[in-house]
Amino acid sequence: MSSTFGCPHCGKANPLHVTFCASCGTYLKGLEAGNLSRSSTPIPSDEEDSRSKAKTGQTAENPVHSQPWLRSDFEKADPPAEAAAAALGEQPWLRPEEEAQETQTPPAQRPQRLVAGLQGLIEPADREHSLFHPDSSVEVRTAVADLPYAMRRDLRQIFAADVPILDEPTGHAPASIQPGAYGRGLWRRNWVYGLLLAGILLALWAGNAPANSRPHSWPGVVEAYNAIDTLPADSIVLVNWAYDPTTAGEMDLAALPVMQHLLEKNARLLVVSQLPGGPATARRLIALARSSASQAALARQLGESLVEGGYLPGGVGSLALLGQAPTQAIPVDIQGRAVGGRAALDTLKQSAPALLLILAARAEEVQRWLEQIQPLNAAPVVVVSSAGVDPVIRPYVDSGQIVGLVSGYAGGIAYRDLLADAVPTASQESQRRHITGQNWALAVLLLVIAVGNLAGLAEGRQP
Amino acid sequence: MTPLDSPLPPAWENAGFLIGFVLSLLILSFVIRDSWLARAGQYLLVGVTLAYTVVLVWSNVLWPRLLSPLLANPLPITDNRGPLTPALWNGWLPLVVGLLLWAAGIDYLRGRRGQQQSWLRHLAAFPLALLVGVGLGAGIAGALQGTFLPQFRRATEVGQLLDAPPPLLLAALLTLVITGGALLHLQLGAASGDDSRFPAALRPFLAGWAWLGERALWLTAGVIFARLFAARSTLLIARLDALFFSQQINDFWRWLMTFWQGG
Repeated sequence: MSSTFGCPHCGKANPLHVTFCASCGTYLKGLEAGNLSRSSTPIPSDEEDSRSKAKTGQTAENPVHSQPWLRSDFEKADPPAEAAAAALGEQPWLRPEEEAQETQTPPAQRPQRLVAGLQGLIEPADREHSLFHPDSSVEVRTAVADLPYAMRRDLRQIFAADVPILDEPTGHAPASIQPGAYGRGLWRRNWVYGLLLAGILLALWAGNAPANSRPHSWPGVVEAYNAIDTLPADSIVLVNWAYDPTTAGEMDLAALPVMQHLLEKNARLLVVSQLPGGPATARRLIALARSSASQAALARQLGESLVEGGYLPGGVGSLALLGQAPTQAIPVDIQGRAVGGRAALDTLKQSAPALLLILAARAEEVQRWLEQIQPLNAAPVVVVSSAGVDPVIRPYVDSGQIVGLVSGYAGGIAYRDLLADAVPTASQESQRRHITGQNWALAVLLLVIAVGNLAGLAEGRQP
Repeated sequence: MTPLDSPLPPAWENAGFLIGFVLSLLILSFVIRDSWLARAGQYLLVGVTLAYTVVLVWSNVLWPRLLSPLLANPLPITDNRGPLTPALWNGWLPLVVGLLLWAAGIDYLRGRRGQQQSWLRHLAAFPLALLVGVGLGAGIAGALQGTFLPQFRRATEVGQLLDAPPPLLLAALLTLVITGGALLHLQLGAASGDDSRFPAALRPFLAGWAWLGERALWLTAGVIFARLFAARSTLLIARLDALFFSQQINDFWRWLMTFWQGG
């Protein structure tokens, strides 16, 4: 006996006892137990199903009830008038708006039809209902229903282009799709797509830059460099290491030059992390930064200038103490030695750290420290972040809560340029590969957008 | 020898890199199709991560910060500060409460959810409520002092920017207009077309403002998507760079070729 069975909706083979189809998300619980065969056992009718429910005492809703197109006799169940209606009569959203409104029938009298695109996740009947009867007293609210009417109409036309994928024997649903019955909404916005396409082509043309080009440098990198460069010697920097190996591929590129700069400035680092993988990632990158540091920095005893606070549990609740009394929040380092007795951190008892450095792959980690720690010790904050985090935390840069921001590989390269250190040949090659790869990735993305817009334009030109 | 030097011999580190290489290929094989190889890679990743976390919590939190101090100084009354000594507050109390939460969690996981709650879970509700309450309290207070008030203060500084350079003033005014438009679109009902609550003379103005806010929201979503795409493509490039161009993999291929040629 096979350990999988086909989804009655899309045909995807799913393991037994799964709740949802891995492909289309159709609710499958209970279907594999005999209500639906693994291959071709017919789905029980309503009566059979209700009898079996009465026997077993089940009261939970069977998906066959909510998705009647799964029934083998679904076509017969269609009302005669509905079955004889023309294709546009069955799917009035393909008609012009006025006609569709005139020919509406109450959803309770209409068979529930499969509409591709949202199937398995949102009940088609609900969707139709919310689209055509926004003022109905029946409480059916979806995200689609909250959109303006014009946008809902456009969405309707876009999704109507999807041919239902259920292999129905009648085939009337695909035949009902008439080219040209949809797409006018797109056609009205041709000028928008034209402008977008022109912009993309211009970007592609202008993006053909020399190999030694640099990515766009976002504001905040110079400020971050200045904040670290003006640190007095032996300043204490409290470091929140909020990224782990899953995002190290990007974050290392931005964090490495910043750590090199801190080591060159003889800063004393107190490193903590609220991620399990954070301490090990910090150790690896600081070792890497030290391996490329100058002889003067190497001559210092690292044990005095680096305190590895390790993993800090407690979430938000532990940050307030860290902001007020770091040596109490971190009683011992990862070697088990008491942090409070370290001579390197003596000044922490009288004053706040000279700088808070946050290296984060998620915006929440930055916000936590800005909300819980920075208001308590008023230390300046420099953030090294993922590129995806940048737009979310940019308002904190504008408000002055973050004095410097180095985001993504572009920020890392810009910071390295400011350091003006001699980049090893291997790193140069790696950096060149990154820039080239990013350019190609961007080109592919732009191509996808361009093709999508061309398809929209072509669809809109259908007679 | 510094604290950052790895205690592992170089051969072990290379072995770790090769294991990572193989696991990366296993997981990346999901791109071709879902198979037991891809699943094995994912399950190994999750399992090893959980095991690592358990070891880390033991070695970095439970032992050095809780159990070791307790074993060294187990009696609550050991100094001159009265009965409420650090051993009580920082040792016994967290230990008892932690064990209580742990036992209640196991009781919950044993599947007696449908039955009447046991006394254990009733008792554990108090420290759990304390944890949740403290977390929420700290979160709300932090959001006020760290985000809402500074951002609000920054927004209200627009009125003081009249003497600022024109680009700065323009940016501030644009921020104010777009913020108002987005709020109007999202909160005041203009997005749903229901503007009947507003005076008729104001409706065209509000509709236009909300239209601007709606476009600004779409633009923001586009910017976030673009930056997220850049972040993820960097991750992919870094992984591919490590897999195919790093020194370790070059050494591995060289060793493999030497082995293949019998030398």
